[in-house]
Amino acid sequence: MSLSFELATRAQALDPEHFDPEALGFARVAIADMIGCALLGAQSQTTHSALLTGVHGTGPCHVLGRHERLSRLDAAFVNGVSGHALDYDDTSKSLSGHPTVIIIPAILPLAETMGTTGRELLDAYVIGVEAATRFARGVNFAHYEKGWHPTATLGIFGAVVSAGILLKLDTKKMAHAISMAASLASGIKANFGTDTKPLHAGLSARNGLFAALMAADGVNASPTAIEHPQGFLEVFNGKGHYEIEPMLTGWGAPLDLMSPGISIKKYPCVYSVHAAIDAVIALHNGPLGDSTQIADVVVRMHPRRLLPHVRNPATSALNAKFSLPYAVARGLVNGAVQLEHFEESALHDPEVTRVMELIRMEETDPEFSDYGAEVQVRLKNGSTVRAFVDVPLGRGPESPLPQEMLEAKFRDCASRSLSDAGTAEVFDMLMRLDSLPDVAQLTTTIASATL
Amino acid sequence: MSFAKHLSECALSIRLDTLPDAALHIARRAVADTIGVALAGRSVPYLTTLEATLEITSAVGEATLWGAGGAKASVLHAAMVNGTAAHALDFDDCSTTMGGHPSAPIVPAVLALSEQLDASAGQAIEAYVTGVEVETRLARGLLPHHYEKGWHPTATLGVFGAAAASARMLGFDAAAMANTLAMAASMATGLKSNFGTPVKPIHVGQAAHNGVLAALLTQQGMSANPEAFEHNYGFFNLFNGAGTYDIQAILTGWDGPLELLDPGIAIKQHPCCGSAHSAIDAALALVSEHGIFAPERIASIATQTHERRLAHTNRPDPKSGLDAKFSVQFLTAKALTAGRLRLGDFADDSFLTPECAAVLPKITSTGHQKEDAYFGQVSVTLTDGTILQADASTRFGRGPTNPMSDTELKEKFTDCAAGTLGEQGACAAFSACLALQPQDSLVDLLQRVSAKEAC
Repeated sequence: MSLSFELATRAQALDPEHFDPEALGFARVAIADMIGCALLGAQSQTTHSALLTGVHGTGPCHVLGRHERLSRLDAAFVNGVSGHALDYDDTSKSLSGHPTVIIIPAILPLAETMGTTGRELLDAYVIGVEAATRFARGVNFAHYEKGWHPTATLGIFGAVVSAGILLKLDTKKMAHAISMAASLASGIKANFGTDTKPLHAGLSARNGLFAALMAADGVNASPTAIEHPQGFLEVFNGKGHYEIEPMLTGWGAPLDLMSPGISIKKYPCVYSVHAAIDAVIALHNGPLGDSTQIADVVVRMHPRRLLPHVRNPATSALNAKFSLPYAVARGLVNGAVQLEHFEESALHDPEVTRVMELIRMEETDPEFSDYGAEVQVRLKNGSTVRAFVDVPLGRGPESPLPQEMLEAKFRDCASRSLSDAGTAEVFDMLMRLDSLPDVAQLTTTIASATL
Repeated sequence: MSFAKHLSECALSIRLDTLPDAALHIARRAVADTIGVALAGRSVPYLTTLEATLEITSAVGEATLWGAGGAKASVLHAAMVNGTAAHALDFDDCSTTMGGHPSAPIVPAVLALSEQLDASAGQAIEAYVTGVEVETRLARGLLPHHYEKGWHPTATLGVFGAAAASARMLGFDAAAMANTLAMAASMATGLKSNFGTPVKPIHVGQAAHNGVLAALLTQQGMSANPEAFEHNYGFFNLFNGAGTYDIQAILTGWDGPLELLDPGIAIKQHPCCGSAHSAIDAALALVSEHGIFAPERIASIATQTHERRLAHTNRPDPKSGLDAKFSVQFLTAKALTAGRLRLGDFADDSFLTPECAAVLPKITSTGHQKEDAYFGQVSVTLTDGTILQADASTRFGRGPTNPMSDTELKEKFTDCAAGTLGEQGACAAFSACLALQPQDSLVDLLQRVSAKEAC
């Protein structure tokens, strides 16, 4: 049996009736988060470029956070670009990339035009994540380290499978769709740091949907496109740099969403400082309160997380995103670290600057938790308070994201495109996605809330 | 200087006013041949699926879908549909340097943009030549490894041909063309494992589409890394790998002869597997000397082609039209008894003519191991004992050393296009294409190939 067929068989054997409710919960969070990110990215110059006004036509599908309506493929493309435009979307450890920003843009245009229910969308997403991450287990981390951009080059397998599930492809057609997607995978890391990185996400979402639609109408691809001597595995990874067995085992037992799961970024800055921000927000909301009494701050983290660019104070909107002192000072002063804090005009807040200068950074011993942080704050009256965060909130099932934090981030992002009332309504709808009778209700609600 | 910038500067050194006349003529022929094979290629069933999937009617555009009854589409959709059609029958032109098909990814991109921009034939020709030089010179530094590894160069290098040509159509400077090429490096893809399926021509449509897309997004201000080729995680290391490519081979020689002229591109004359073309040409040489052979005059026939080529063309008893396209025995018999091979010769219910059926059992095909893997020989023994023999060496179609005449090309074009444009329309379209002067508009040609009147 061909590998594409084996993968298709496994994807279709997953039974949504038996999905762990907790996994569906993680899926709901990831989808809400991705839609928030797209509503943020919708106003970016990158998204504006991707709209290709005058070239893309009009169609039935919504562009999140904008008034343009596009064809299915073009909507997948633009929503993928905007979802990744600010690089604020979720990540998967198995994928070494961003799964949701490929899968959801690929299936949203189908779902909103086919009368798909919220639960069906969730199920297709769960299966897509499983497909992409099982595939990734066979090719990573060689695939990532070689220089491919797995969000795109592996994410496409999630997109095509999810779309194939919504289109109710039989196993044979699903296998053809997977094989075709193998010939449409692209994206190289040399283009990181440019608009082409979010472009990868848009292309991959579009191409995954494309392959599923073509296969649905009976177009064939080679059954052995993946394992052939001139197929995906040999060509993208190379001999000795992949294993087929991990691609085929463990499907749904447990779902990748349960272990190791998906990480949600809560703060619009470098991930290595997120635990330290969690710690200081806990202090701000607890024993510390007002920042004006702070006399001295020590942040202790793993040596791997305390790289030079992280230690620098913020001097520009760009390096602020990598500055531990700035982010920690913001957390201590405001009890939140939000998008507006990284705008040029926000960088010179006197109290933030005062606290930033009080921060010292120390390396822990190497046994300290990889992404953890310990923060000790001494007050002017001589007393000290301390907080320790082992795993940043939202890093995965071991440290789930509290709903209020998800909502805060969503509000922060979505309000760039939606009215305040609309933001709240959409978030509420996303939290009840399982019971939504038609995904079109979601996209039309977003559309009518769009400023 | 970054590689992409350097390559772009080389590409921009190609200018219409310094192109030799021979290059203009080859470009006109390539445009005609690409359109011709695309018109024939429209008959494949997945073209309809492709158009539906793209929702081509959703976007109003200026670009003609060739042979589609006058339908127009967006530049992106037209590039994708026409590019797929152009490679659907694998009957489009070839480049041995590229290990692939040079024109199919480029001509659809150039013509779509020329309609959008109302550009002249001269601009289109300049862009076409630029694209061919970029993709084939990349191939000089990347093949054979790139091809042997499993990439489909028509797509993975063709995307740069399409990107450079599109950048040229849009009047980009070297920096903008470099951005276009660097962005296209993130869009390059296409696996040989999907050969033998509709995905192969779809690669080519996708390459044309992506080349145009990279140029349009660059025009919109989207950035890419100008070092996307030579970067540690860049195109060269990822698509080839350290030690398997030669940057100098790509960047030098731009002041020498055009790749388009030397070694040039080859046009496929016969609508069937290239591995049998030498035998067909040997048989046609016999026909041109002795006339068409009546089956009853033939006692026996022996063909010889290279054993590597015979391996997949040794089909003494073809069962279908597709099978016949890969049967050196059938193709030799057809050439000897009809004196020509036409697209219409391969219908499942009529390919086996009484003449071919009578001749097929008389043919013995053997393989040789000569150094010239393209050498083919046909010996016909007549019932009176006379032995007639001819040989040929046809490499992926007929290039500068053995060119197809304009008349032969016209026969091929008409054979391909008559079904959609009618015999007269096809002749007129071909003549219009070959008569294009640099200042001419392309509107008339594209109107002719739209098949608007045929509908």
